[in-house]
Amino acid sequence: MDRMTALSFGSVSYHYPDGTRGLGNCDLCVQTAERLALLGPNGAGKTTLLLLADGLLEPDEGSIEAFGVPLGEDGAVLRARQRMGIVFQNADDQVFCPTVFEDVIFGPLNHDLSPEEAHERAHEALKQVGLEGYENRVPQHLSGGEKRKVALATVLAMQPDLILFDEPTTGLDPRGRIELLDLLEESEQTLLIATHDFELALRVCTRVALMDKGRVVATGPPKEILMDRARLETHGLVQPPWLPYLAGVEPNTP
Amino acid sequence: MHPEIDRYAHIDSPIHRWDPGLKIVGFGVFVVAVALLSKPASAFVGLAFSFLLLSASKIPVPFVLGRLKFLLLALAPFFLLLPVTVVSQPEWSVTWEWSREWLALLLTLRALAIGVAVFPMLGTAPFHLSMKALQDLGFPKTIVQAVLFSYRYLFVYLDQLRRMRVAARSRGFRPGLNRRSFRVFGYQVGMLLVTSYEQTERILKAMKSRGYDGTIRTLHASRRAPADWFKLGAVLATALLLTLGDRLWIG
Repeated sequence: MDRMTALSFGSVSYHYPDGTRGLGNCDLCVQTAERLALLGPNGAGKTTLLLLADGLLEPDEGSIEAFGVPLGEDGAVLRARQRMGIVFQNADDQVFCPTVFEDVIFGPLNHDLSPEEAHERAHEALKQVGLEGYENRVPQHLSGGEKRKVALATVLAMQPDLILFDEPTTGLDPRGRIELLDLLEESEQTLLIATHDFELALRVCTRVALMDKGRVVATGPPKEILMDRARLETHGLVQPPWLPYLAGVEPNTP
Repeated sequence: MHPEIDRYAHIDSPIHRWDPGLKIVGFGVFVVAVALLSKPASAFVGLAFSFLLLSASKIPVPFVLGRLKFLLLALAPFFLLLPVTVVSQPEWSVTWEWSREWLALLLTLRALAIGVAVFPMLGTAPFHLSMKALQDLGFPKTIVQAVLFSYRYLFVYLDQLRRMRVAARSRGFRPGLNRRSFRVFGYQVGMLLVTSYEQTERILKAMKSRGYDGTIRTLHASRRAPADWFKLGAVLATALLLTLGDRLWIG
């Protein structure tokens, strides 16, 4: 693995306790500073891959390395989590403190930063997502889009090198979605984004990995993967009719 | 609006300014003392002191009474049941003893005194700070976390239950006291248990991914001033006087 690799999966397999296969012999490499979209139908293994990457699940077989360190080594998961964060699909799972500020500062405090530094990071993260002034708001009273931004701020406050996103645009209204796409586009971190959102993959990402049945079946530049209508359909995806226009190419027929 | 106990945690009062840890110790001793009172007159004094503390906390009395009405409803049957004595031998007989109404009154006064005291105890600091104080006092972390997250997600699950009930009504379900209704209630509660378990798993993953190791860390630093100890002394002295009065003088 070269020095520029943020995350790598080598022949990773994972089965859930009920026997359902999450991943099967999955290979993937994420380079630093790239924005990789994981695209695939429901049940393709996208969320499982993210949970394995963050050490929240342990693979049955294969190896996962984060920043060059195998996650199986003693203490490697905790060290890796200091350099990566995950934004979950449902913000209610992630935002659980009584106030927005307590939630955003939760991670920095757990990583034993000084109160002053944790404070500074939390304010900076809220500013980044445009939620200055929300510090004392009760998360459960926020809108879905605002909760999603808080969830993102909770991860940004840890200043990770790699951010994992699980379906970041699901359930957002059009305005909230556009704001989030802008934020992702401006991000300087390495991003791994599990999504069904073709526009996000096209506009934000530098590479797309197509997943199906627990494996990565193709990777490539967004236009190359997303414009191959036949391959998308083979793997359970339907290309939106407007996508070729957005990508600036002539629509083709399978 | 949800019935959060700490809705008035951000106002200012002498009770709000009291260190959460010492406050829990003081109120905890007071609550135990009230629970052990044996005479309605002393329980009434205990209730009066609870209202005094509530008044000092500036938490609106209607807010508290609104939450205590369910407690009163639960206690009301005692006034009917406790005076009744059923004897089965040598033959069945039912007698009514008016003196036992005092026992029902004692139970009610004690429960009310404790119920009112809970609000200045837990409602004058954000709930997570009260739980942090419990953790710092040496309570088992597992129990503190269970309470903290039960409280945080209680409202999420109540909302979910409400949505399920609306969805059932929209499909023509009319609840009643019949077998089918009870079966539907059973399904709803069962689904709630399953989804809440699954959500708990997801929340734990979200916490671990942000470095959580079982310890609650907050920005609040405990700085106990002489005034905090004075308040603790005052409440402890009241609890002691109440106990002595109950045993020696009152009634």
